[in-house]
Amino acid sequence: MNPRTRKTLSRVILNVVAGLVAILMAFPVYWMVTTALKPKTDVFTRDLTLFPKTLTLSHFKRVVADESFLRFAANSLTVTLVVVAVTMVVGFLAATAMARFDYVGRRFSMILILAIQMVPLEALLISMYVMLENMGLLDRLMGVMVAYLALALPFTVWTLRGFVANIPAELEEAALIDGCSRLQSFRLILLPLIAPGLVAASVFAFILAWNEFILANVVLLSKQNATLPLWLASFQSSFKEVDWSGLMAASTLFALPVIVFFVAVQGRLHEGAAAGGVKG
Amino acid sequence: MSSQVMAPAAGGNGASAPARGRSSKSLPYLLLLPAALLLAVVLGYPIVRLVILSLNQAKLRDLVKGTEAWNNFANYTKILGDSEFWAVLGRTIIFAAICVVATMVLGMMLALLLARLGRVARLLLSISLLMAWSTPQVTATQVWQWIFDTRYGLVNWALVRVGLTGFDNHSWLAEPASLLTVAGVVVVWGALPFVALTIYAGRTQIDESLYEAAGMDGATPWQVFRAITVPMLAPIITMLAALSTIWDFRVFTQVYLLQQAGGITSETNLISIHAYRTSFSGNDFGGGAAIAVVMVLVLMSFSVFYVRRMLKEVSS
Amino acid sequence: MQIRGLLAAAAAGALMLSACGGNEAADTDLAAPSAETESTLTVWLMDGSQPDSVVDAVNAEFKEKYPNVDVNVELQQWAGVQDKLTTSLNSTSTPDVVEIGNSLTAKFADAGLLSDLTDVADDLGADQWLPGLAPSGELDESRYGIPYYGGVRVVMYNKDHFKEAGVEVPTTLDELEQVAAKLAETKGGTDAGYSAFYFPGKFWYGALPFIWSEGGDIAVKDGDEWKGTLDSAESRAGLNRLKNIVDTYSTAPTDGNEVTNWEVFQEDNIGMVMDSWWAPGAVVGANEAFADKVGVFPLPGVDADKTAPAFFGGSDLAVPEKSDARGLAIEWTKILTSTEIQTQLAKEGGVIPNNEAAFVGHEGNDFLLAADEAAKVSAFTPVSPMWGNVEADAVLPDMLVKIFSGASSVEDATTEANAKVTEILNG
Repeated sequence: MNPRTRKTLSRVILNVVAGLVAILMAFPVYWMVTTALKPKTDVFTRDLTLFPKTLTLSHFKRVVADESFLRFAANSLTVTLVVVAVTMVVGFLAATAMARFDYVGRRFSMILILAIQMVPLEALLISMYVMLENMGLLDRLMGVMVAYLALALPFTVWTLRGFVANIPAELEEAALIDGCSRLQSFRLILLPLIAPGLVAASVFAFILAWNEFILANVVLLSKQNATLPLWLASFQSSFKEVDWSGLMAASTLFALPVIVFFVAVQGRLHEGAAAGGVKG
Repeated sequence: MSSQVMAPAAGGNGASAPARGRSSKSLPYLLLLPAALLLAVVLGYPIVRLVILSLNQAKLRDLVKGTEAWNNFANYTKILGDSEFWAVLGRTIIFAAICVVATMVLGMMLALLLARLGRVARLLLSISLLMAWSTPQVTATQVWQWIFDTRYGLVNWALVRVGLTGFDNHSWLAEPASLLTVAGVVVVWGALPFVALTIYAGRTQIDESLYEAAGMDGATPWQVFRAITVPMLAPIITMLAALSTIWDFRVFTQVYLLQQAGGITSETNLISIHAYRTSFSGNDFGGGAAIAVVMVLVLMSFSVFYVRRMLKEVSS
Repeated sequence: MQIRGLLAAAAAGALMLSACGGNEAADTDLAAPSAETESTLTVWLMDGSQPDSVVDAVNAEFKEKYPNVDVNVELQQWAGVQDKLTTSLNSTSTPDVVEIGNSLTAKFADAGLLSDLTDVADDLGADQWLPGLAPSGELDESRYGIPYYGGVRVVMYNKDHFKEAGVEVPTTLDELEQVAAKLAETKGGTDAGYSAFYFPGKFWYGALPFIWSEGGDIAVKDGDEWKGTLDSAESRAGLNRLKNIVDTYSTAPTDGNEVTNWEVFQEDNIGMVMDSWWAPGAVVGANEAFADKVGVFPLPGVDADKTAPAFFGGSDLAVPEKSDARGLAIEWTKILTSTEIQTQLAKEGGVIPNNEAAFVGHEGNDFLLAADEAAKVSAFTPVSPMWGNVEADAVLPDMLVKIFSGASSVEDATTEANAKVTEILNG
């Protein structure tokens, strides 16, 4: 076999493997969406088909029939976007301090940031509730925002610290010599290089804020302030019949914005990598 | 990124801090201030309270009336003398270890696969990874449970179709090990995208000329992997391993939901579930807090290796 | 920036934390409300417990009496409700009336979160309450929960299959086994995928009647101590009977739960299945073809004169201790639990009302009338603040799964579960 055909062959094999992996990873999502699109009689059957025989939008229509869905979605979006934006800024500042400066207490702060992530949220629930109550933040979106900020922050600082540390200080110094202000050097040199880190961290924060149920459940008490996870929960538990198709439809609608957000930012992963590819 | 750029961090030398002039003395603290304030305000009190609670006898009634009473480490001695706690802890460690190893190995393989694909194939694979990543845990667990369902599940249906009729009405949750395997599949499936894409992002930063040089020297792919890829990605790999350890040790939702659907609850509990049930259903908030504290201590001891490495990187 | 304000609030909060639990004297005006009373009343009911029409009717009647009181009814979800009640009932955002799943009432009452309603119980119709619903709201001879409504498990059967096999509705448990045998003979056994009696392993609400009908129980209170009785000869007799039925006639997963029972029933491969009282209606609602096929009967007892005691789940209404509108809350609760509203609830909500007089709301609905029949002979789990722990630890489902899957014998499984129940209830 000559090198050329060998190369083509390995390419084909790689693509086949990639295809299989892609199908495997996306399959549960596919199964969720198609289950939501099937009439109920095609769901509770022992005679399954991989591709739905008949499609129906009735389950989707049913779950959004309640006009409050839009309100919950708006609440969720507000909370999530604020949390992502603020976490990134605050997290980036702290990460820069940890990666770039030698200050008293640096080791301690780094260990602390790691340790905080080890505490299970369930164990903090009551105290956090009391905390928010005393701040007058119960039943306010601000309450969960503040909480999510604190929950997303350790991971963000953690991830960004690694990215900032990986960028040679010489690059920044060169910029400073070139007459850039410190702010400019952050913006022009650091920021593009840590873009992949920002993407990873913002996705983490997005998912955390978008999905969080335990805290939202106890803090956001009135319907007008509810977020989408609380709406989703209404399909998940009932003492009467479980509306499986409705649940799958609701889950699909729930997951959709996250997928959109991901696809929108994922190009940045490569872009950031490309920016870092400049020969230093 | 060039080899000079990556080398310092990858080699563990750490980035040197620039411009340590007098003006920067207060600057790091200023940069830290917003994060420190947020964490102190929102998590500071609850964490302190958690530790105090773990040293007190605290039923719900005590929380309501403010009558928690110091009980001389009784919560801790009770846990350490409870055979169920040790069973749960051991189960959790094994579960987390398998999940972490599976996530890291598969994540690395996926990342390398991504690096070798053409643009279109890579985009398609990335998108399917993103879909898995973005599915909420609760939803993901329910869908997977449905796929493994005894009666209406796709897995049994497919296995019977290919002639394995013994799987007709097979319960995947009945055996504790089987239930935890299904839970592990859900956990790894959900964690893989993050790990794979992060390693991939790191991989793209390794200077291709290194690989070209290695290729010219006639190194085998395995040698290249050992000599270039792994050392270059070491900081990212250790970071991901540390995070995976923390996350997998704390797994709650996936197992909790599967326990409702099938299996034997008392033989499949993980430590976070145990802590939650002790507090909220068991009405022993002191005991639940103590379990949470022990959990953090165990995790800390697992992370010692990682923390040492990190601090070395920082101090040199 | 907001952060400074937050910090100040946090500092203030830390000072306040040490002083929690203080209960200011209730406003006398609100304790005995009059038509002039001005206030707001927050009510938490569970989503799905009642149709909106019932809430509207209660509010309309309430408004007539108290025109200056704003009533705010918030529907809560069952998911995560325990966390929510644990935090809210002890806070400033506590509701004034709250619906609580009745296996949790004792726990919250014990914690001092619920107002003692003993003095108004008679006024709220205590002598009319169904004997199966009343005990859950009582702790140490004080009344904290007012029975709101309940639900029982019934046996749903396939009329066509019964006709084919030439069998009638059984009146004793022995007959039930004979009917199952006949059905299996006619329709094919479990090998053919047919379940004469479908019963998933975790379904402990369905298993309890078998234990109770033989005279067994989960635990009994002996003075101050609870004594587990799952290992009694009577309890074991009930479980042995059920195991025999499950082994012989059920294709259900021995570790599965009951949530899909009513879906599986529509496969037309089931002769009899236990399910919640609403399930027959749900089957017909989802599948018109079953309109004439579904029949319902209460699980029979050992003897024909008495049906097996049904597990009577349901909800209580309570007034949180921290409510500052106790008087109004009681007034609102009184309307919701009145026979008139309960009749409407029975009719439009399809649940079992808290008193027998309201059963008239079920007239014309055979399914619900059968449920009422079952509810007349009922029993409940031990009323103890610790009971939630037995449920959380899944002691009973685990025991059943072990029995049905054959992992343990009835003797071993009951001995193990009994020790756990005894330990938890006395803990």
